[in-house]
Amino acid sequence: MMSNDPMYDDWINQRRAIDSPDGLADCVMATVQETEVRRKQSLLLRLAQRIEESRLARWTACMAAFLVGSSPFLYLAYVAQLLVF
Amino acid sequence: MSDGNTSRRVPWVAMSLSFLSAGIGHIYCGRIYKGLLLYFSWFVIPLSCFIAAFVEPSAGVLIGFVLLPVTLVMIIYLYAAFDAYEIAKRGGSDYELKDYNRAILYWLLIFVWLAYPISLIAGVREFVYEAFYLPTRSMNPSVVQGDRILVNKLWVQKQFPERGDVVVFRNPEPTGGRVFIERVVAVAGDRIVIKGDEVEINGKRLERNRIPLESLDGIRDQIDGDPFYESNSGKRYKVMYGDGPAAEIETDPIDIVVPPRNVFLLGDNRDRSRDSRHFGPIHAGDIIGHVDYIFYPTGNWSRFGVYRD
Repeated sequence: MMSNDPMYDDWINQRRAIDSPDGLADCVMATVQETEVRRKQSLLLRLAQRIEESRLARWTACMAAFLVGSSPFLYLAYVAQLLVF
Repeated sequence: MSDGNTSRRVPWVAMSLSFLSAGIGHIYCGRIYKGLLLYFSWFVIPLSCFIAAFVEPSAGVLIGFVLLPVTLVMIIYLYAAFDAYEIAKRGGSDYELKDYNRAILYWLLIFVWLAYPISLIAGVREFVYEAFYLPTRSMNPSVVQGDRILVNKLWVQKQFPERGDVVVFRNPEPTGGRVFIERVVAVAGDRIVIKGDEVEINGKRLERNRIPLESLDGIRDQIDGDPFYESNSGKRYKVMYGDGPAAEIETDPIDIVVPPRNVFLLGDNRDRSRDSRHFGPIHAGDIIGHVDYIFYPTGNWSRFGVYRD
């Protein structure tokens, strides 16, 4: 499809004559992936900021971490027959 | 070791990381050596338990080599979290990021943390010490219902059971519990004769002397029969008769020679025990271990420590 501007038509014909580099598709895909990672990081960052703003959220995060991280002690108590499931 | 970027160290993040896995909070704050030391603190438990299993049982060994290391690891875990919080708080906002300050490393260490202590505990349980809770009265008045005992599994590798030893073994019958605890009364080659309450080993009747109830103060509520001291090959241990209806334990008279590599086991509460009188002698390979300690006695704590007859 041709436009009415001869300068633009010349320019577009010159662009079409140039072969695209081999790595262009990889480059585009990597950029898309990077954008996705940045978006996810920004979500985590926003979540961290929200937690930092509230004392209750900070305590909740610490307690959740404690519950997960202390699971080996729970297993130890179970093995020592102090806990029965 | 650094890439020149600076970042603020957030105290609650340091604390949360440390709670997830001791030492990660320190690594997050740039204290990698201290962090790794705290991270691997769980190795203290198998090392000390291994040593404890090889030395002569004593209350000091139980406390120093089994209970203290467990307590120490718990204290280290809590200390690591609060110390990481303080380090991050003091650190300010110009912490220079190190090569290892990467989320992927934190997640990897946390994942390993959730697996490696459990493997160490399972290893100790499988090969060194296993704890058991006694749900029955079959060993009253020696080890009473509700006691938690520690069984040395390395003991079976070192020696063959002797008369008077209290052992835990795999139940040879398809019904009932997974394991039983009983006392070895006769070993391979012994001729054992049991008629009613009388037990004879190699033609010699086992002597019994009545125990005054006052001397069993801590476990009086568990004594429903007549306690005796029974002597067998120089060892003296407590047994009990008359607890429960006799019909429950009635067996035919026994007169057998214990086969090679087998032992004959009886529960100390003779009228409430299912033992070799019912299922015959047990192969030594079915013995799991020797009862070394009562680490959580029911009722009175005077029985805490080494299991003694």
